[in-house]
Amino acid sequence: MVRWLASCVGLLLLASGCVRKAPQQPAHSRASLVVEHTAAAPGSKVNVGIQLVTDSGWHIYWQNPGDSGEPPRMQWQLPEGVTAGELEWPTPTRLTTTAGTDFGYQGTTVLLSTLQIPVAPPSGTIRVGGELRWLVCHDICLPQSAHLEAAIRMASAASVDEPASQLLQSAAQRLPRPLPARCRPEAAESRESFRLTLATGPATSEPIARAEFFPEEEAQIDNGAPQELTNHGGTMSLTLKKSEYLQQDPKHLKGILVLNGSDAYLLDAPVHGPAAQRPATQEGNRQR
Amino acid sequence: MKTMFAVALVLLLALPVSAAARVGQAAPNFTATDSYGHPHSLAEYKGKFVVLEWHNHDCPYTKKHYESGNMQKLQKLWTGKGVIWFTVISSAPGEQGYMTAQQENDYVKQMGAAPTAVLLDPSGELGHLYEAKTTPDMFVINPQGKLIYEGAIDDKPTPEQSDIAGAVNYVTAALEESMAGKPVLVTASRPYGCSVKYAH
Repeated sequence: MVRWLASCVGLLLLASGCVRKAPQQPAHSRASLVVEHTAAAPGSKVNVGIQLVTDSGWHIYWQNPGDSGEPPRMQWQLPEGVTAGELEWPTPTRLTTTAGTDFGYQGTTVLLSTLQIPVAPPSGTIRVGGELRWLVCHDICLPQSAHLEAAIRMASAASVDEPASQLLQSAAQRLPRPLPARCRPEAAESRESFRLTLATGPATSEPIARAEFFPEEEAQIDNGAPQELTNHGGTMSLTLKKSEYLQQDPKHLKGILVLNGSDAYLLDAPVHGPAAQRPATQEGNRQR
Repeated sequence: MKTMFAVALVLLLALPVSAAARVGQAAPNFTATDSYGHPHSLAEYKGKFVVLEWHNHDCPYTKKHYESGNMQKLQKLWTGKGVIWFTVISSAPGEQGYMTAQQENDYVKQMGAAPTAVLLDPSGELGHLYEAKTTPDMFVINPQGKLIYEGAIDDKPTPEQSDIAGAVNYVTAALEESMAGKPVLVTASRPYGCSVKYAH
């Protein structure tokens, strides 16, 4: 403490950087853990959310950050027997930086998860939470970390925290929905690009005027390249330029497909080689 | 005639691609001035391996590799084996990471850094030529002048020093494999770090 104070005074004299460098003072963004229940029953599930709020002009990242950046990472610290499900991420927005195109969020973001309470939980009140690390960026980036924690009382019946529940429900409504299987998404691979094709009818009755794909994995597609949309009957195609960092073609193209700027779907398209997709004559012409 | 036309068309199409740095192709030549005012061009180092390291001393990801001593260790290891190592600063004046020549020379001394030279690129010309995206962003060029690796320094894209020990260093891997006459296994990876602070 004395050493810290001393270094702070030194820093103050040098660069008045004391306050900025003080530990445990998240800069430009704040994180909190939102828990649906104040009390939970044995064997039940409890919805939770990690809420991140950035200052105006600052952003955090999606699970695939794009050309730079880093996603928030939660290291759960849970009582024995309690497990946390995978994080569910809302649809990101495209952010243009000097590094290229990033995927992330500005303002308030809630990452959702579910805690599974064991059939025979510890009695009394349990503490759930963990260590969250995230990166917040404007022109510059600042790594952040915070210890998030909440208490849940073990009881025979659940007791809901209404404001928390409403916040989590509205966050859940903003998650991308699974793409109907009848859309039959497929991706045809060629040297320079993937051509994503699907039937749009099962997803929307509207004509597709705009479509945008966010790849779940890094280094699959060129994040900044235009995604060329074509409609043919009830089928749409989106041409996605391959990333210069792609080392091996993926077996599946996974990500979020946003139709007409508002309908967001989780998509998983098997990747086929070009031979399986193109008529032989066309392929022959290309070779000549 | 038809063939000539086809050749011309191929050349036309190929030109814009070859202008930028692409793995497997000739690394674009450049001339840049180091922090001691000496000019360096890539062409004069033909016959040697050359590493380009994009740098911003204030970026948390750069700090990870300098405050841990990892970058200095790599610089000493590889320059000791005859590799030319250029640290490149493309931060524009007023942007994070911008350094005057004197500031950079003081920093190199203070950190015990050991690059062959630090190239000052405040205009961003060299950075844009190589399309350097982040700090660090690493490029490895072989003695024939071909770009053999581009991207992240390692496979742990975090700002935490504790991640260095278990990471696969792609620069070291590319240099070791290439020096042993083997093909480079990972030739490109998404670079991680802060965006390069180019002039707006």
